[in-house]
Amino acid sequence: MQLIRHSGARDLRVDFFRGLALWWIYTDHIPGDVLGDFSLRNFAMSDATEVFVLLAGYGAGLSYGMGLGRNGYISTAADVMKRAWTLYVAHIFLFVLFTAQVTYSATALNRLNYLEETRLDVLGDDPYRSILEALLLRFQPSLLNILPLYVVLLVFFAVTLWMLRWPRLLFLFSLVIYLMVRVTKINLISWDGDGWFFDPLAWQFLFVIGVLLACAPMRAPKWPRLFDVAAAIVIVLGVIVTTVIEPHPNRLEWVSASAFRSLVVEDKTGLYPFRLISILALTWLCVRVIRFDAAWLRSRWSAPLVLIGQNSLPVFCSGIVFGFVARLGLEYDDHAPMQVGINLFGAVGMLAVGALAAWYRIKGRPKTPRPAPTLAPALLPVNAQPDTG
Amino acid sequence: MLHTARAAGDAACDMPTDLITSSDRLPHVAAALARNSLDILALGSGSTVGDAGGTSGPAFAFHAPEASFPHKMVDALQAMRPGVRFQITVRGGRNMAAETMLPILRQELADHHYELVLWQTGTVEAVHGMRPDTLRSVLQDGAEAVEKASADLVVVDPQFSRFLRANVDLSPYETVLQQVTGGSGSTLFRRFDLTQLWVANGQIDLERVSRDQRDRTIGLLNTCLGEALARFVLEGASEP
Repeated sequence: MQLIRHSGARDLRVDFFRGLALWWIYTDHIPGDVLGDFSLRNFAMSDATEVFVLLAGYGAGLSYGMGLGRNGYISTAADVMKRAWTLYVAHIFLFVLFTAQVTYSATALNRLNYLEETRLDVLGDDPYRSILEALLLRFQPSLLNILPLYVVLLVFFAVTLWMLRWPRLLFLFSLVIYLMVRVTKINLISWDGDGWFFDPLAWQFLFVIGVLLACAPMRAPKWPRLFDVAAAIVIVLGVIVTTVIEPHPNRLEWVSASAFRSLVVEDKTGLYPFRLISILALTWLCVRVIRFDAAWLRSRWSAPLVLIGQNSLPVFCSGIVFGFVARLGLEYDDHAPMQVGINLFGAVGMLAVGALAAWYRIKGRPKTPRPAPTLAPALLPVNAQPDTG
Repeated sequence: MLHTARAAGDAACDMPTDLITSSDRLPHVAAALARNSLDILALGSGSTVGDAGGTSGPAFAFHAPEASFPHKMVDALQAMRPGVRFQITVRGGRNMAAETMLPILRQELADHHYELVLWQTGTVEAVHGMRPDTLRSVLQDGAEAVEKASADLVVVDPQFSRFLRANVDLSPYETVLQQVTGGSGSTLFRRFDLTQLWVANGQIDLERVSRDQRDRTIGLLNTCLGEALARFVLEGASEP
């Protein structure tokens, strides 16, 4: 049985990196997991969130961009809203599950810090209102702030979808909102009066860039080498900042260049410009270095990441729950066998969920593969398969 | 060079000299000590006011204002300088960001003369993903107000936890704390490095402690932090 979706035009690079981002999200959020020291955030100015949002935009562009031409705005926007609804329901389910898991563990193990750290303490302070605020997405415990962002991004996409007929207009519109956020710090308000952890008005820009990469293929630039060099410089700068300067802020004292200072004091909430530039540079180099038809993407070694990348919603949700179990394990004992154990547990668990989701999708279908759509002349090849990952 | 301070019974916390040595002088504290009277204002979030956990039931909340590290610092100061009268006022609250504390600081400085302000901050900003540049301008305003009020400022950075390290990008906020302190009358107490050392040495590890040992460990942490801060302040006030 073929659990991985292959077709001549499906870009497995997207699935692979989405899978990798999901794995990083798992390891990054377990306090004390040694693998958390080897993920993207340790070497670059961007992390799994940027990868996830860019590829979410790309996936949305693939899934709905073509529908706009075929079915018109209303129908396509309705499809996007349906997807946003699916994500919203998944988020609420995950909220209930995660809350039950964390609050039970906190009481059973007498670990008040779980409640503070996950920000679930307000549930105890104001139980009657907090459920309503969770439904309104204004109460977001830690780790449960990515899906609300994704929901709002899809609603934003549904509203602005018509602009895809004029990609430059959509890009400009999105850029202006992003710049406005950078200047005014405008943000959606959460229950506690602060802004959202991930400001959707800022992050929509990265999402829209993903959409446009899928739907509005760019012509290859005239001097790709120039872009290669620029991207490499950005990445090297990111490595210097994350590995040399950030661990020892006092080193800034002998780095006279104030540019370095401004690179270090970055915010994730408003998608700090250097974070954005960093993920775009990484994307550029990935596209340049890894060919669309690279054989290794179809090998058994990359199959696990491709599989979870193709089923990202259930894998993401289960990863949050598995991650908390792994944390309890590490707090019980954090020696090497447990480190291996919790990472194996997460890997096997996420793979099992991905495989199950894939199996549900294909069961009962005729075995003949559908014909591959023709390749579009895109920088990143597109396909027309619905993105249900 | 390590020298170890005995604290609370049989346990010990390492206090490396570089972590309990202020890089900047505290002239107002020095003058107050010479007068045998030091008034301290401690401003901060949960760990400063001694409030951890929710208020969802008496068995669940840890609310011990008198056992928080600023009070323990005063206990240690009193033991080290028995002839001096130490007075402490603690302000702030759980989940309170520096921006919310700034008006409280101004009000306190207007109402009363303090010679030392302890300002513990950075954690709430980092956990909520607030903009580091906002924290910087708030702290700069606060530092100016403290200076105008003829007091010294000791900024206290976040406490180490594996959770924070895994889930929160602290470095921009640490950089800000580093940038706004320095120079005469304003310095940074590196609580993160110190508490990380205690975790690494297996001396105080709140994230790995068993249920029945938890309250005792919180007490030990506060005592050790208080003692480290007391040494830090006295060292900063001594002649270079």
